[in-house]
Amino acid sequence: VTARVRALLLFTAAAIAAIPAGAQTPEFRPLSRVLGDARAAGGPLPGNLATPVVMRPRAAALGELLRDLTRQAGIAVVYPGELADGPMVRTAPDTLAVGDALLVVTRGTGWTPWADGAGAVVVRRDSVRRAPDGERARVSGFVRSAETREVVRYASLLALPDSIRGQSSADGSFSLALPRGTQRLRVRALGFAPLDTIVEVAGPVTLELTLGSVAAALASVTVAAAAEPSDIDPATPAMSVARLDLQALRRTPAVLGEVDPVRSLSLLPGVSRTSDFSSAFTVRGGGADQNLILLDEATVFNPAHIFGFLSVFNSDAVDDVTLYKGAIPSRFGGRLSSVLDVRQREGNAREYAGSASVGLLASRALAEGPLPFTRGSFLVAGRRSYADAFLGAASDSTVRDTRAYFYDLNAKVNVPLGRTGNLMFSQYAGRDVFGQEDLGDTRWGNRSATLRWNQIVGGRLFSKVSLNTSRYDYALGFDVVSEPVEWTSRIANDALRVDQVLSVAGQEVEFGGEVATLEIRPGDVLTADSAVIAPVRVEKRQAAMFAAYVGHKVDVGPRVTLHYGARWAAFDRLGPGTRYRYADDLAVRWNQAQARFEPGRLIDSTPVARGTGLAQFDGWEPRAALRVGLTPRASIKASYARTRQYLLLVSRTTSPTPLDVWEPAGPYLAPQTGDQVAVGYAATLADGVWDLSVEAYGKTLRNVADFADGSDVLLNPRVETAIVQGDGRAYGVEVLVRRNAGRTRGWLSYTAGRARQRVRAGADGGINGGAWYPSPTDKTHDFSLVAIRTLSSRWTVGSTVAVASGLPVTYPVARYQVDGLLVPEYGPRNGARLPLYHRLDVSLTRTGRRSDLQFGIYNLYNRMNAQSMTFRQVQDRPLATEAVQLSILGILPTISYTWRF
Amino acid sequence: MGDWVGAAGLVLCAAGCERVVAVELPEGPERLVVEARLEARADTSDGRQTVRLSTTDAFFSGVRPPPATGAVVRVTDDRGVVVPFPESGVAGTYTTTQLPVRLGRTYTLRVEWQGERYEAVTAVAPGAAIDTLYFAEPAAGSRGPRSGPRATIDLRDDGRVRNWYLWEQEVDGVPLAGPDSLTLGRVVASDLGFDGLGITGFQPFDGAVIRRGATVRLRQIGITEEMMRYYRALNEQVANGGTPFDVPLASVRGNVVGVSPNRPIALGYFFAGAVAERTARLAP
Repeated sequence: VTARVRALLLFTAAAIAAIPAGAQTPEFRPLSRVLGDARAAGGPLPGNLATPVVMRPRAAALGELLRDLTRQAGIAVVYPGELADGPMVRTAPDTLAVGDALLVVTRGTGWTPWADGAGAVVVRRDSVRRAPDGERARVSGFVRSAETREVVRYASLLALPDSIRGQSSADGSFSLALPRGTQRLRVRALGFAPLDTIVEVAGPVTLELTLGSVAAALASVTVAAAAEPSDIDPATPAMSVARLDLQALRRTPAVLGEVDPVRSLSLLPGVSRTSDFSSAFTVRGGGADQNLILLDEATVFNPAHIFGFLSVFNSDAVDDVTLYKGAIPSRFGGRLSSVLDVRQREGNAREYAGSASVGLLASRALAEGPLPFTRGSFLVAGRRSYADAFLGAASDSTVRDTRAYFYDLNAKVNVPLGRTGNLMFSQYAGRDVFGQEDLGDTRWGNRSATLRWNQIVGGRLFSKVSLNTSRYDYALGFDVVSEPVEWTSRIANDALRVDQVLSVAGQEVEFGGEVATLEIRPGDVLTADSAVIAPVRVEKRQAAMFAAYVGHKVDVGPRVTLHYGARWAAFDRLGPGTRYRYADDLAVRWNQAQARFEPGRLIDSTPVARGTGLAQFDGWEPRAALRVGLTPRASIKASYARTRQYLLLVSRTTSPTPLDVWEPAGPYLAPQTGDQVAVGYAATLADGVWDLSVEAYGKTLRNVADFADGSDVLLNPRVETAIVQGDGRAYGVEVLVRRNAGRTRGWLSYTAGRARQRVRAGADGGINGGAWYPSPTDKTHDFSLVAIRTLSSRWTVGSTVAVASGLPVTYPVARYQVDGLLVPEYGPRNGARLPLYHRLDVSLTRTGRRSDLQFGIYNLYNRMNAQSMTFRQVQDRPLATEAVQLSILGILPTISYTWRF
Repeated sequence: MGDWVGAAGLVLCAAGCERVVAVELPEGPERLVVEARLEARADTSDGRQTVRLSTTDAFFSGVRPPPATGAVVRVTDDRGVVVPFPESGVAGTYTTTQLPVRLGRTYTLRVEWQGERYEAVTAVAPGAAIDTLYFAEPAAGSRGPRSGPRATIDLRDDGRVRNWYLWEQEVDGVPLAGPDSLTLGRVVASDLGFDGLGITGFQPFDGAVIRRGATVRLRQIGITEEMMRYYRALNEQVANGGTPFDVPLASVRGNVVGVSPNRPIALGYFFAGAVAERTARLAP
């Protein structure tokens, strides 16, 4: 392992040294000449070409032998994917330097290894048919991790000297139309060492580009490995995209030792949380239910463990977390504010490996490796909390009798289909259990699965067909007048998706569609004895969803890239069900005299047969993004996106709870729509060491939901009588500065923004008199700084600083007494602010060969940040009232240990 | 459902804390507060009814809210019969003995105070009889101590109509909902889940252990759906702990309307409901 890491580091350093500004050509010469010259000069072989490797007696395809040799030596070799099919080579047992071994295995095959002065190797065909100038050929394939052979998503590719750019997809595939002849190819990806190589383009060719891990570079004090993260890529029109660097996050402080991808999102600009307790997040002034959360393309309806404290995403099993805050690609739809695209790891296709972690909150275990009887890989990961073990030791009997735990199970299998195809099955199942002796049990959890077939057709068409299924349910068991009662609720979603990307003449056309079904059972309350408790079944909701999209990415000259498209989405609410009719066609009406919303008057109800439409909605969602390059490393960008949302989370609480229910759009619940524009500047500075992104955004939202005071939204068959709809608007500026290299890495995030909402009724009615008021998520200033300092090859210190304006809060202007209770009378909604929020977290990580040990302290100086301000009667002086500030998490030390095997 | 959330908060917010802080609050305009409940009692034709009027006060005043004195209070039924409520000896309390409330009738409250006029309208909400009141150990899922006698009732809901209930309990004449008892919130429920069924062993105040020798008066009052929403909103606000599982803070709005030209806002409620009542003494 050490040799491999060293080789990667040396290769990385050499590659950077060779092409400091992307202007110089790596000097590749035939490997035999490179080795001969080095030996003649009496010096060491370049890079780690001297690393000994063992050759076994066997006959195998040249590609397989190359893979074996490079894995043993830990070097990166670029070779066409077709070598996986031959020529066949017979090898004799021997132990050689890897440089010599490469010469041996390629001898007489028609292929020759070439190397540069740093020891990077590329295998080229002996005779290359030269083509007329200007003729292009398709170069396609996959970008993979050298360490595990997992695909590398969103890697940026740059072919020189023609500056042809590309990006690997979410499945790791790429396609470039390159002029025939020699092309220099630069590949960059977040968390990986950069790769600079050459490609000999004689005709259509399939390549596997393997990237070394930058994890070792993080721990190195000698190598400044510059990566070019693609979420701030001045070369593409993509903007308002944030990608979490999970490797870096593992070296920053984590609450109770659990690296939570969703919790960590709030360290990025434009993303905020309203509570230290809850991992629920909001994006650019939107609501927590306006984020589409996908796990391997399957929707996760409630990503919460422990009532929202942690997300359901096990960071060990996840390798990419991408958040689209705006400029949402047309292939996504269904939510107003953002898309969180989480991908599970594919598993190590090279060797069996595993890890186990112990933290204060939960333990995790992971196993991965190549499939036993065929090519491909698998990954299985599990996580289980053990809070219940600690609760049993509590002195408080209520706490002691509490059962509280959760578990996750992630699994994924990948099977390559030929050299250009892939079949993937991904699965997630998780469950929370919370119960008390007196209250009974509540259980909730998600299950999702995805079966996906990827195929590259003719090097031009990237085809993806997937079947997704997703379930979320909860069950409460409790007693009513000594009678056991079970309360259940469920949402089920099945979808068939087709996504195609066609690359033609340097342009990219994406198109596809989706057919999905949705079934919601809002609540069923059942008991064994119906003579005591009458069963309650809230009518289930059913819907069919259809979507089609098209997008076109085109370079308009060397500096301008335009990516535009549109999505058409339809939502059919279907029977069986009941069609209700309300007086004045209002399910909720504003009572001006009493200054409150109240349910509309029901006139009649008629049953609707199975499959009959209750309500139909459809609409276009145009999307566009534009890049204008100022320099090769800086550009300005602009984007526009319209989004529609047909599902609403019925939640009256400040943060979502596991017991909330989704309600589909219907006859009296209009779909939510949003429009967002953004302009920005993106640059990479100092040869990729620094990234800078500045974006300004503005968005308007329509039909966003609020709830009538005192309304009961649970087990309410006509929940539309509790929901009021209004408008939202948000605008702001986001700044992200990131340092990718050196002993100190990390990022600074700052957002200055406003988020307002309005619920109007008539001329001067509605919440707050129909005036705009600050959204509950509104933070004027939100700053965070994440820094990771490498102290030595083993020790890393991490810190997080968070400073933010206090959240809006509503203050009383008076009090009064009703039925003996003192009741606050409030002033303007969200008219005041909580005190400034600030916090410092630190961690110290020791990275060993096979283990990581992390100590951390959350909220180092024990700042009791206000999460809310409430006003109540004083317990021992009943006529007195007081203001109470609630803080959730004070100082919280943590320790976690991870063992890899 | 709230119990679940509260229990979760207890366990999960163990690392957090509450802190009383000094806050400077703006002072809003003085408003009239109405507590007007007309009771229809099946066991008596007594026409005694009470309306209490008070006003809002500064939030940190620390004293009992000022009574609204000198008001003119009248209740009119749907036959046009007007019953005045003269101010009693207790400031802010207006009473009559001339208004026996009957199911099926609609009543309108009219109040004139400090030059402003207010109105509210209500129908009489049906209720149900309490079959028995007795004392029993707490049922599973009860709050408070795990043992000790609780006031327990049996009742039968009327399956012909939707019902909403309010329960009140006095122990030796002291109400459990009041500033001195800190039973925050009112005990209310709809008949969802037991519409038309008999309920046995119901303990509305399951957290209150009854001491031996105490006399308990338990009242079951039918309320309207509108009042159900009012009390639910009231409970959500007075017991609001500011946790992520609480609703946002908001004013509670009742059904009393200012009808003067400048539409003054009044707080509180006016409703009429059928009342069932039982009294029992736990043997010493």
